[in-house]
Amino acid sequence: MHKDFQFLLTLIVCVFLLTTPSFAKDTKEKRPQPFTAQQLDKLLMDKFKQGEYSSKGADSCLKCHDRDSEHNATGIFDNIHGNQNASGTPFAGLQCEACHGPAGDHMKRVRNGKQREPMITFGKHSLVDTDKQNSVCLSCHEDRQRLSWQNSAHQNEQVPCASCHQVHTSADPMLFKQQQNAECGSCHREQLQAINKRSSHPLKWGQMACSDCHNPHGSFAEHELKYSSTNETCNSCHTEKRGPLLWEHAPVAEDCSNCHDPHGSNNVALLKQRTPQLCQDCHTPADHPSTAVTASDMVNKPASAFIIGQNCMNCHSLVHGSNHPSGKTFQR
Amino acid sequence: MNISTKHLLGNNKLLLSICCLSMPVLADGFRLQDANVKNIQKEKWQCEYCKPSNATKNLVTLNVTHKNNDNGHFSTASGDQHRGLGANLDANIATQNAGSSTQLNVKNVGADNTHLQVKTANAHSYQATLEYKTLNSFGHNKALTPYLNPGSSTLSLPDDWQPVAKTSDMPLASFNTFANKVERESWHLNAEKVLFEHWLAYVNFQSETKQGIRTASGNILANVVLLPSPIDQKHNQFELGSLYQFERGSLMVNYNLSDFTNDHDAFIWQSPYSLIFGGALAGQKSTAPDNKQQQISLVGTYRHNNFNLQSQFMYGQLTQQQSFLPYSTNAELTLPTMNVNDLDGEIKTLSARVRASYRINKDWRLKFNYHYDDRDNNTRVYAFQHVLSDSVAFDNTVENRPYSYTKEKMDVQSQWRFNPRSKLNVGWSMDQKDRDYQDREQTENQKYWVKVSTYYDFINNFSLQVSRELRDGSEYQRLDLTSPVISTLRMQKYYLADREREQIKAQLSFTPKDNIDIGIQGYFSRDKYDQTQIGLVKNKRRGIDVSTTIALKENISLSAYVHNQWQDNVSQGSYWFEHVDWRTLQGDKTDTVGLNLTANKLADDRLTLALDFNYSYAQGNAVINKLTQELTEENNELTVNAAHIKLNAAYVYSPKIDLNVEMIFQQFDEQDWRNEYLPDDIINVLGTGVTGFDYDATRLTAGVTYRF
Repeated sequence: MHKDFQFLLTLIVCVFLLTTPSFAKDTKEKRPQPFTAQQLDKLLMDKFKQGEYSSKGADSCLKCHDRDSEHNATGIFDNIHGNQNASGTPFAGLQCEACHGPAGDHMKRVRNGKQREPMITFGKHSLVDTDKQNSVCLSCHEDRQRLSWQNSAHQNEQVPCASCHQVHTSADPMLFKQQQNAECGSCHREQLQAINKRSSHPLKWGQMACSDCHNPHGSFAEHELKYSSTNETCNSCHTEKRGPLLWEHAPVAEDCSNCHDPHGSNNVALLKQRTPQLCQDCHTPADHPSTAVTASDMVNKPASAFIIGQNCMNCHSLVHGSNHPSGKTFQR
Repeated sequence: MNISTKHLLGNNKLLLSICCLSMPVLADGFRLQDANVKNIQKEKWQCEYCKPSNATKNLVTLNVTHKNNDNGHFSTASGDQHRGLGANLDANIATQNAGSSTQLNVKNVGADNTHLQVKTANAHSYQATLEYKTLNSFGHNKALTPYLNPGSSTLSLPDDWQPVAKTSDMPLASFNTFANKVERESWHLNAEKVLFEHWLAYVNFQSETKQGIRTASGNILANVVLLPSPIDQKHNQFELGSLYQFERGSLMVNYNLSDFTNDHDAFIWQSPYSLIFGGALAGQKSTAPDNKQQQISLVGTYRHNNFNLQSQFMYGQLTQQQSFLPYSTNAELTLPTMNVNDLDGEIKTLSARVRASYRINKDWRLKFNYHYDDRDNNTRVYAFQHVLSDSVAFDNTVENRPYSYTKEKMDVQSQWRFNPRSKLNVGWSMDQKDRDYQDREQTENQKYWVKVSTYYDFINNFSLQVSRELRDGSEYQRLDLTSPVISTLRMQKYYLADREREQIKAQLSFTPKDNIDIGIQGYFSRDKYDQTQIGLVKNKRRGIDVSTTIALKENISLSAYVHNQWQDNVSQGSYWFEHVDWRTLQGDKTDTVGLNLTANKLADDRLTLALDFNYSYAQGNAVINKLTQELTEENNELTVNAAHIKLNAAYVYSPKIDLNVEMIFQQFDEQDWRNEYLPDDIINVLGTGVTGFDYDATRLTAGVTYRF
């Protein structure tokens, strides 16, 4: 095993040991902490079972959480969640407490030394268990787009719905392509920066969005793709490459990402490596013996068709496959 | 390493099933359906403060734009190719009554890339969406060609064209120009109806046309022309399905039909070169054939407290019956009659997915995934006369190789929350592929990974993930078609080769002060192909990203980021297949920096200002080492500079009128000598005269929004 790799494994073990309860000091305790996660969980579950709702519903909440509040909640009335007339919305039912749980005592005066009655809160900074946060949203939204949420990559990483989506605004930013790309990129930094590369899908200015290929709510496919495989996802737009074809190029039929980096590349056509080297990584046939061509060979004009322009593809132009009886070498 | 995978997969599935069925049960969450509403008294729930803001009013925005550049790169980015003054319309109009709502969303009507959507819905009853979209991509708009009719499926040279041997002798001054452009236009209709309680049916129809001209090369023996090739394609997709949801899960059945048609069956061009020995006067290429894909799938999900099970089964087939083109249009060749008219291609696909997770207790969960994909290519094998580029008919015949493969993947993960703020994830996966007609019929890839993540006080998140993969497989037997069998040098194609992969990813985000967030990410990946002497032998990729967001004041925020990435590929080759004669190190580097400054609620809460700046620099080098000559040379292969500035000001002029002004400036410059297609730069390649993009472009937009 490589030394660097061993070093990293050691590092992981150290981090693991230092963060176990017997080694780690819980620095959060330095700050006033009303409840621990376990206390909060028990309290909220008990409250949820008891069902002690407020006497005036949303009016109780909005006395404090109004437009001047730091925790302004009134934006919810600018979207469907706050619509009382549409059946099935939170405000057609238990209003604020539909999502935040029964909070009959939350607005009561807080005595010295006591904490305000807690409620279900959302987002990555919430102490409420992520699965339990998300169970609120999934009560209504576990539709056919989100059938695979359970066991998805984001569920596995304990990503709360509210870390991406906002319900107290007129429009959830995730519904706008450019904002969605930025939000996804806040964690997926490498993929976000790839859209600045020389060749990439047009995500930078919002012509496409991450969700055009991926289902962030989970899918049965690899990489949470919307279609059942990488090739099916690519072929949904690039259908002309699908076939069946008479002469198939095996790595193409197997996986488009053998040659392309779908998030972006410095090379043309999102290629992982510049050609002809990319082709030569598999092909060194006897009738095209490979030679190393240096800069002076290349920039002197006229230059060789084997290395300049579309190089190998100057002749083998149908590299994704051919349906011509004479197209065995992808020239026809 | 050669592990009997099937045995391994079978044992683990059994073990996991036993674990899942023998564990205790945990409670669910806060589902709305489970709320205890027995004690609720809603008569005083007046919701007096439940008032929408002005922002919910209908909006119509008229934008007037001015662009000073219509080059393809900037046009693709901005979604519009018009130069000079232009106008487009955005609108958001919604109506609501007791149960239903209808929304009209319009974006960029009047520009090249347009989006229009009408959506109507009645909660728990129906939903329908009609969508129209155009997505165009543009290339060079002044490419050169000797042909009279660029974009036609039969390219003709002028009657007085004098074939010559060299591109430099061609009359470049008389060439025509054409624009590379691909226009996509699509319609999408989606309807969903609740048939009974918990049971809905849906139908989707999508139709996309793709038209335009794309440059593709065509050759006759060694004489190549870059050709303005036509694109006229249509892709229709139809989907029908039904979903039934019950207390503990759901069932869904889905049928999908995808139908691709191409208006061009063949593509013919006249050769501008003089006749060479055995060569043809014209060439004919095949185009993407009409084809269909049908697929039926069945999805089932089941949950019971702490146990989740999901599965999907899919069966599909791809078919293609496009008539074959003749061997050649060259009448000088003596060719046999083809004994088959079309491929009658058929590929059957079968897929299965099973995913299960089990939460043993509140701190420990297990997860299991299994993927199975089978691609069974039932296309017959035919013998064809071996003909090369309409010019040479060999005596031998060649046979097609209908590829089939089976992929199986299984992974098992364990997640343990070892303290309230820290998790340890450990996983193992096995990926096995069986295929035919290839150098290696079976590959196996095993991956082990471990990830630890935690947060403390001002550290919002720290995670470190390390993984290691090992790939090997059955005996590697080189195919004579793609590699020289005489060679004693080991040559393994990189997607089949023995490979050792190591990956590390670390992430840290923290809040050193209440108004400052800082994030740092680093990643490293290395592939080694130890059994390869010719081909790709090593690949390395690493990068670092640092970003920060600072709340300068209550309504003013600044964010900035830097991202650096390096990628190296080492390839080796041989001329005589006796020794490794050369080694190439392709090194790529990308640097990106960006800054965003946003100020809200200025000028009495009426003004919002935003500045967005992004600059990226890319460089590609190649170090070429001619081992037998002991000669090393480094050269810069490509350089790309891209700067982007966006300034935006939005002003609430009155309760009914908003004003918006925006300026976008982009500077772009790419230098890549590989992609310079000057007509006579490359031996025997007639180029289109285009080189890399190099431009400064500005788009100004002034918009008025009316609320009603």
